[in-house]
Amino acid sequence: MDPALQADKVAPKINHGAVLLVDDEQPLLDLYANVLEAYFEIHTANSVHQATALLRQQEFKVVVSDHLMPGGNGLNFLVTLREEYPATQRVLLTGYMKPEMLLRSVNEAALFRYLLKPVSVDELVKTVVDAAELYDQNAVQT
Amino acid sequence: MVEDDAAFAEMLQVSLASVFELTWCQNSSEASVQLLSRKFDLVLCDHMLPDGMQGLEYLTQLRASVPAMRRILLTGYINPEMISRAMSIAGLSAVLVKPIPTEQLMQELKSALERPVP
Repeated sequence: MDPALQADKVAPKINHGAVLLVDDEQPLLDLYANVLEAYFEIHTANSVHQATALLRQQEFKVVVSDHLMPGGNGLNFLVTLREEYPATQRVLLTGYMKPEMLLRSVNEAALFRYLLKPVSVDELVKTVVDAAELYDQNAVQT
Repeated sequence: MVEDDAAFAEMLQVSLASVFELTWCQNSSEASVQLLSRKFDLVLCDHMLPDGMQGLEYLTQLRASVPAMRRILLTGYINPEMISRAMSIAGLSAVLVKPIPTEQLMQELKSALERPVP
């Protein structure tokens, strides 16, 4: 991992912005939140419905969503998110990628990344940090 | 457009000419010469190029050298590694699978031009 990230890890919470995590499995949500809250202001949602409500309340730099969830799949959610909040960077967590999902990931959802489960903690942190950096770069340019 | 299949390229030139100003190059070397001579809004590049360079590799280079130009890959097949690279390294606006109807291609080009460069 980047030495700068390691340094951040031992420092008190450093707020690099708000990140929304969406997963119907609470233990995984807790795990992701625990590792990311050293770097970000973390918000969590157990469903697409709950996530949609949170998105109306504030701006997020990055949304990380599980794919298979009751009440709406993550890829469809991120496609909609792109339309409504194009500046927010999108990351999909999934156990599998079908060919049609691969194309939709780029062409419709314009994901920053997709991560295959089981997701390593280091990979998750690096991905979200990189996605937040891209959000910041785009914000400066616009 | 970087495409070595002349028949396909000519078909696209005819069908897209009414909407876009299209420059056709048969390989990445020709494209690089064109890129030095003028500004392009978007590059549409075939994945299998004749000069030993893969389209995805060439588009990755173009992201560094011409970052403001949108990049679309045309390919006959996709795989997870290609898609991961398209997102993370090449920063593509789209990956389009051949054969693709002209109307869909035109729509994809318009959509890409309306959105910011990834």
